[in-house]
Amino acid sequence: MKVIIKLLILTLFFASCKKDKVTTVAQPNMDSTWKEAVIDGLGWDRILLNNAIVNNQLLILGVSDLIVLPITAMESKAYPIQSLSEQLPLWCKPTINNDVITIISLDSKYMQVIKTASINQVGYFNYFLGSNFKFVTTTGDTVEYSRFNVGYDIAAVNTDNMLITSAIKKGSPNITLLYINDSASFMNPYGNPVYKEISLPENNSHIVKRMESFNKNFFVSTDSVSYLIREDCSYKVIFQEPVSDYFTFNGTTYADLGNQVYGTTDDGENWTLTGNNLHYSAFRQFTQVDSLLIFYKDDSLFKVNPANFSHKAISNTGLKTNKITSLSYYPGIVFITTLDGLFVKEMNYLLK
Amino acid sequence: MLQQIILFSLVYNFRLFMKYFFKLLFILTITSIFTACKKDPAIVTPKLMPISADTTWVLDSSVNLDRKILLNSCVFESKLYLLGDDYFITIDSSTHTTSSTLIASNGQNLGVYSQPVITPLVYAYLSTDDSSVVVGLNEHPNISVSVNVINSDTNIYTIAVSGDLNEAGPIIAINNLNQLLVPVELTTKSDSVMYLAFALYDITANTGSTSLSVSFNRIIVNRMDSVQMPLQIYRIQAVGDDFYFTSSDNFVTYKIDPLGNFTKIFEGNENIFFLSINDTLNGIGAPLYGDPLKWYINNPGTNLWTGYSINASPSLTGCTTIQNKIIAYSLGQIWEFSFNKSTPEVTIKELDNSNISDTYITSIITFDNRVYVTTINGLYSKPLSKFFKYK
Repeated sequence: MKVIIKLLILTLFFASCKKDKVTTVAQPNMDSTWKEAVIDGLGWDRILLNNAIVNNQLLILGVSDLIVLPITAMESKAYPIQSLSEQLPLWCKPTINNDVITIISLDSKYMQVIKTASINQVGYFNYFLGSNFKFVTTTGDTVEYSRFNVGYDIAAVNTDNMLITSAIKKGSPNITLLYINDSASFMNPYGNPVYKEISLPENNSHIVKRMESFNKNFFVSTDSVSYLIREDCSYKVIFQEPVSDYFTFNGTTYADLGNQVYGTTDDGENWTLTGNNLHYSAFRQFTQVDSLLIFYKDDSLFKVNPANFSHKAISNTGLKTNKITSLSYYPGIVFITTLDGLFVKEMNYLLK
Repeated sequence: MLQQIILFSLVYNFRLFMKYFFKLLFILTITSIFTACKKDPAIVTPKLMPISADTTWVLDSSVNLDRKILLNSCVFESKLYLLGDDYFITIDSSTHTTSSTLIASNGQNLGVYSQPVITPLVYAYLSTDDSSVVVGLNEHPNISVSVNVINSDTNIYTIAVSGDLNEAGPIIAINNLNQLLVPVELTTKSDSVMYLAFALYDITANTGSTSLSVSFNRIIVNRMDSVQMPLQIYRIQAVGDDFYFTSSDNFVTYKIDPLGNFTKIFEGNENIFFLSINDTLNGIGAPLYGDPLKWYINNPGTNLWTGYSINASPSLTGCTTIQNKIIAYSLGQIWEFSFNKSTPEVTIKELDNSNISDTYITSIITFDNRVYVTTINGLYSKPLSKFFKYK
């Protein structure tokens, strides 16, 4: 009996040894590497600035094209659907909020608002905020602006389709926010959008860097102060310092201040310190991927523990030292756009 | 008694030994199997074939992230200078270091309207504000001067911008005398016609110094041909002390000397690359609309040019010389052009572009016995001795 048991154990050892050879040698696990997706284009077409899942396809904002990737298979090919009339600036991020895309011209004088449903009719920049253009306010006043005053986010759109952006108003020393009642009205090149102004207590030497919207409220951060903007155009200072990123995770909205992370569950009216002494001063961007909280910085990805906001590196093998510009999740697949190409990975292998 | 104890001990130990012999044998067998199994992978692991740095373009990992968007390059002594979209990068072969300086931040990407220019001493680019040119020192990239072109002369309406890097080469140029030439749209008080004109500036800078100044010299107007709007200019080049450009208004190529004198040199297409080989100036006229390639050769010391129409129509974005051979490039492709004047025939041979075929080449330059290719997708290089590897 003992001999039989020993033979069985020996057989098991042999079998396990054979398995080892198969998994570690003959079939190395290649899925842990980020794979580059094919983009139908060269050079400039590979500089990608933002992406989002829209209508079951990946919409990519390139520096000179709008590109889509049908998510029917990992081997799909991304192809440009619209060439832009001029290159987009690399110093700001074209935004995709609530099915609305906003892009800005290199000289910050033109902005275009595009419904994602009509991305095939983008054409040329058609909105001018230059010295010759005048906005008409809701009170009928005619106001002149010189250019938009955006340093990273171009605009934000809330769930009621209200759009907020910032512009330099002629004669005004203060930062001016433009609060557009209906973002769709901004798309009409021949009409004047109805809007309100919000004057912030900072002068125009400051730049509006971050603009985000969660539900009805907006969060605006300049390079020195962070504000909550409500739908009635009232505002309050929420942090006496700039916020690096606003993001939501499992129903809570967070503000990343580098050394601290604060959370709110009432759309920004009250904030609670959630993570402290984080010692992370660099600009980073958070996003929820399935049930995970992730942030990316340069060409690196990190998994975050939402309990204390400690973080741990995730493999970036395959990204080729390219700067990550955006990350999207479609059930089972993670997409990353970079300044040189589009990369994909199956969710099952994200942490491997 | 002692003998009995020893005998007992031996017998006892032998019984113990026999009792555990098979167990020991089993353990030894298992251990040897484990060892063998662990060794197996090392034996059978397939070796990956190393990528040969001798034959393939290799990405330089020291230029990464947002520094990979490269627009122009220049070599000075032991340094390779790279102009990125936001960064100025220096690769020093004597110290084997790569350093980068952010020279453009919000609203100031360099390559937006035209390719920025770089000489061994300074770099220059058009600002996105439509009205100024920024000139900076290569040795101290964060030292720069912003020249407000519109304020230089009351008759200047604006800088004549022709397009973006996708279409155009540099439309400002710096000659060997450190003169900066900027195309402007000029309007006079007598009428509203805008003339083809240029603003000429003198750059004062010296190697090893942090001082930099740019002073307005004069407006240069080509009244000879009364060239008027539109003032589309595809590229301006400096060769030696002179400047060359082609106006798309009349497809005439002109030379401007350091004193501001215009000379009409030939008529042709717009996109002409001037290259000096063995003291002879060549002009490669890259077709824009499917026209044949044109090759212009200067009679040295004169303003006489001979033009040849070549039965080839490659679309080019740049030309340079490597080991006295003309190297042309477009997107991610590189060709060697050679010209037989007696036939006349041009031989075009495509060079190896493995690893760079998906990129957009912005310059090609030799440095430290290697050929470097700047692209908007990174810096690539291969040994000079392996550069002329044909496809």
